[in-house]
Amino acid sequence: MPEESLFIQKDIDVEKHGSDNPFIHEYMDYVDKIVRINRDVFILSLLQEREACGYELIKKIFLKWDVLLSQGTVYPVLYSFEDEGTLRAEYGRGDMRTKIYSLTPVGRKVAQKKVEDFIKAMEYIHYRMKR
Amino acid sequence: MAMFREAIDGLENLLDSEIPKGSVIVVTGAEGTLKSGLVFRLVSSALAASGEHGLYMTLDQSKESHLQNMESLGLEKNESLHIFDYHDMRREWKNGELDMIRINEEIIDFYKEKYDNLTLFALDSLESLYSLSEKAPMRKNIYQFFSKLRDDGLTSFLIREAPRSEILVNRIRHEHFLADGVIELGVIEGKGGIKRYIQITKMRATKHALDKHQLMVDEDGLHILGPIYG
Repeated sequence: MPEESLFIQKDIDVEKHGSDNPFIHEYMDYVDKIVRINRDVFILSLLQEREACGYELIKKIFLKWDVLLSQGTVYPVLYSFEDEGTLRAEYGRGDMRTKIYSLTPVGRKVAQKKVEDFIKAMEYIHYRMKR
Repeated sequence: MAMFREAIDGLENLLDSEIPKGSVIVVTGAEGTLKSGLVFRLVSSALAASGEHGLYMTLDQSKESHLQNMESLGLEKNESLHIFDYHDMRREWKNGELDMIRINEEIIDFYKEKYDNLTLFALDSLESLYSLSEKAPMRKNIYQFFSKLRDDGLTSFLIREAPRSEILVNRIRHEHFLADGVIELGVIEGKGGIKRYIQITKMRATKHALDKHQLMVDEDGLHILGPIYG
């Protein structure tokens, strides 16, 4: 599915939520940067919930955090995790077109650690800024 | 620094000195002329000697299928060579045109960030890159892509499928003018039968032979023999 259709989804969201939709706020620039730089953590966090292909991950990140990642920033992360043994890639049942990524047993531990560390880092930044 | 002259048996007879770092080389030829095998061998061997990292992007084949083909030619992958295949992306985004310049740049940036001594790059092939690209004429944007490779200090080998008819009429392409080097592979029919050949038609800052030399493959891999005349 082309990126264009994801944008259509975004337009629907604007209609649905009106101007209160958070992605029109300036702080979304920070969200955008945080997601892009730490996309490996966001990908792992989504795969903790459910296995997915590259396209689904891009779509989920967009729908959940309003950040549209390009294919060129997501697929290398998946391939790299696969090489390292964090992810396993298999073709879907009856679908030899789509490679589905899931966490390996080792990958589950890696994902848990990375997601926890990331949340702690964000909490730490928040805590220190409020003091 | 990557050493290419010793990467293939006999190549030292064609090149007087090493290919300068950051050069963009187009490897062109018709189907079945060993373009992928030659580039894979050049990059893999040079990495083994240098301890640097390389990125091989394949747009037509899956990583597994590409490695199988290379193995059948007696060519082994070096651990420092990272293969990125577009297979999944092509299938999952089949209805959408892709901004291939941006995607390629992002992929290169990812691997450069991961391996700070990423010095070699290969693309298999330019034709597939064009076919996947958005409506904006990719050929016009190829200059930007070549510049990116040079700016990143990547010695690059870009495979280009050339129809036999194009080689016969000696048609020179836009990419050949932009490239620092052009290596042509082909087949030639002579008294001794059909032979594969390699010819370096351009290599900036490097003295090189201009003759067509026989290219041979056996269980030990690729070999470049003496000059052949059609």
